[in-house]
Amino acid sequence: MIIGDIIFLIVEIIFALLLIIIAEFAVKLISTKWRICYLLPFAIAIIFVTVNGIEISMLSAYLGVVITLTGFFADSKKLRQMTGVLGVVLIGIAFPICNLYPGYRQPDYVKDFKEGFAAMKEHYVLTEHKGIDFDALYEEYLPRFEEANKHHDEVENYLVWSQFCAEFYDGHVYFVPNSEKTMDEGTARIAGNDYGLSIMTLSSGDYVAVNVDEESEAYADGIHNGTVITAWDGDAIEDVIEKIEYVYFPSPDKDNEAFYSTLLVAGVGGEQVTISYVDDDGKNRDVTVSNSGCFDERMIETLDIIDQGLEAGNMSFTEMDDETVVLRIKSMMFDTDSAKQEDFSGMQNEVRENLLTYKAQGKTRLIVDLRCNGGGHGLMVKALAELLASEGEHFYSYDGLWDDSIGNYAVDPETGKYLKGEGVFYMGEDIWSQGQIIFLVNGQSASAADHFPALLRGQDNVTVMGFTEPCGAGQGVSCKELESGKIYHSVAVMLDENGDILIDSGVDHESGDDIDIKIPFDEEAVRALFDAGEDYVLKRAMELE
Amino acid sequence: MNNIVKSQIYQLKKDRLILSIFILVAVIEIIQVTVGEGAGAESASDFIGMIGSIPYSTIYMFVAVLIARVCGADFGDKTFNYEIMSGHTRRETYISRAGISIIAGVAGVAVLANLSIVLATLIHGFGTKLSVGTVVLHQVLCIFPMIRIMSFFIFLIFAIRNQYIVMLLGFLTFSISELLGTIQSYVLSITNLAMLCRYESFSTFALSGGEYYVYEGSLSISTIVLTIVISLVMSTFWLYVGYVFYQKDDL
Repeated sequence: MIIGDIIFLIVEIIFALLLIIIAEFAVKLISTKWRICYLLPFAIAIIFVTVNGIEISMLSAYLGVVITLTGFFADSKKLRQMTGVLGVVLIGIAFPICNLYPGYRQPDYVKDFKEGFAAMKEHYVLTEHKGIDFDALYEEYLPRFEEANKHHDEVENYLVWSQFCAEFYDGHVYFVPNSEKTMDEGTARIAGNDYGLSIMTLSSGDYVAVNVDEESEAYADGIHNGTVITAWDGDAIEDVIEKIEYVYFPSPDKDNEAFYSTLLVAGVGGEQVTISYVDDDGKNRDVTVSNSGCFDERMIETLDIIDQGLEAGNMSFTEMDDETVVLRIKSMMFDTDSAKQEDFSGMQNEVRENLLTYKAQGKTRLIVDLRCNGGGHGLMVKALAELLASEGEHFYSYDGLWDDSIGNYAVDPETGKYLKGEGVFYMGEDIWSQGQIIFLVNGQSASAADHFPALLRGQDNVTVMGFTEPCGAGQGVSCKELESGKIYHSVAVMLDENGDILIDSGVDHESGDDIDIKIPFDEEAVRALFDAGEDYVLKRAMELE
Repeated sequence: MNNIVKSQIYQLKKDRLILSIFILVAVIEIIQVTVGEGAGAESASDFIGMIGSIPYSTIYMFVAVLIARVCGADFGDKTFNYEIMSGHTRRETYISRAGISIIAGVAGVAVLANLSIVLATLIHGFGTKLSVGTVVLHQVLCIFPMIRIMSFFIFLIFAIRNQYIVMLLGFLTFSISELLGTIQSYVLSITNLAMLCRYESFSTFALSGGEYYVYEGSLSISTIVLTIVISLVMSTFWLYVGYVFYQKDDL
């Protein structure tokens, strides 16, 4: 129970008891002042209900308060005592009801969905671009939210939201529940069971075991990192992927989606599963292994190993060797002041100073590590791009043209495309003209981290590399607060030079921020990542000529 | 009862304190448009979305004074006793005062709540952030919780029988609301006035600078019906409780 409800019930019980005690005085000393006392529980109830909100499982307490009000209208001592006792009982009953009722203080998930849905339908800026059919989504998801509401299942509510968001294949569309615990329980629920390994897809198309637990039955039978898995519990891996109801890592780009598609496969199954694999001698073998717990930790660990970035502070420089320095950017945020004032000149000066120092020391390779950078402020990207871009004026993006009269972005009625608003341009300083600039990205480099490499890609000394492309979410994001959490979605239009949507994938699921070098996720990569514990992507970047 | 009503109207017209407070609140409303919270508004509809329930904290003060004067001034000089001695029933003396104060209150609230909007419209034009129909609907509905608040003040004045304490309560509500914004929303949330005055806003931004706002003012049928029904039920409750007090009270 929430503390506000506990205080309310205790205060009301105390008042009701006092009213029983004073019933005799109130009759003997006929005065309106005594009568006022019988209004107090009601007045207090109004205040608490205003602060805490109405709760259906407190209904008996509200009724008890109303009954104590009888003493105000009736002068009978006996009646006042009886209603007082009844009031105490009814208010007291609310304690067990609130503790036993599973829906106590539960937000209305259906109402939340309707509110979030309405906001998205009104203001989501990629509806046409991505071919989103809002009405069909409503029909499909409303019953699922109704089910979650009926069963008072907060975790299911989170999972249904996650599924709903995945339909948008937009890195900016996601739901964050109020409690982190809900998110963890949701991940655990979709992850399934742990059989001692994860599965990933190699660039060759083979499915291989990774992050294999050396204590597991699978390892004992001969499955190790890099072992080719041919079937999971009798089904081809492609079929298992098809059967998985939930998406853990939705991607705007189909290549990225394919890369992460097997993440949940190794969690599918009951108490035992049979794994079919090719052993080291090239023979097909089967092994039956038992469930050893929940798969969520292994799955997240697998993702962390593949998508790792350099362990260093945000906006810090790390010297790797005589030639190489790494600028680690974990987030496109520098400090609170710069974000609030939208002035990143302080950050820019600091980075410029560092780059010039390293340049003077003879460093010729700058690695900008954007892996797992979830984005941030576009103006920070602009400030950084100014330092590294070749001299002269460069284009960043056009804002969509806002039309106040319709409360939305203006669209060309003929082409259906957004009209261009003000353009954002910047002047390049080219302070790293003497050497290479290598951007490291992965599927979790999103939003402003999508923009940065996209702005400089194509410049002679710039290379963008990673196992996958960046996330592919380029529009501006905002959130709508709901009772059960926050729903984020793309709300600010950003256009490229041609007036097309910047970066975000359309119905072809191809985002517009390709990379120069896609590092093959092969046996060598698997061994380096999962056996040797190396930062394979960084290693490959340092080997680049 | 007609005579009591006429005397109350006469008293109301001649009451300088009520007129002074009315003018003071009106001036505060004007300041809000010109240099206060709504000074940055581009249009009246933008202004309405920005200020939310702020005007009602000052209107609260006016309502408290109005009711305290109309219903409570006669407790001090025994006018009630004379009216009853001259043949009027307690019910007549109660209803005439409560009725006049609610009618005058509604008229005053209607003027004060819309004064700043009219002024903002004259200065900036109405704009497109909200439709006129939406604003009218919200403003009309706001009258109902205000009637509920007035009824509560009527109950208070008949329970306390001291006009100055009720006025003080009105001023305290105003000053506390001004000092602590959160309290203001709670005070107004006891009714659904805060909700009716608050327009859901959607904002987006541009990389080149600036923010765009849209206000959402649609109300469901259930909200409209519940606002009216609950306000009237609660108003009846407080008026009845006030009458029960007054009926049995020793004057």
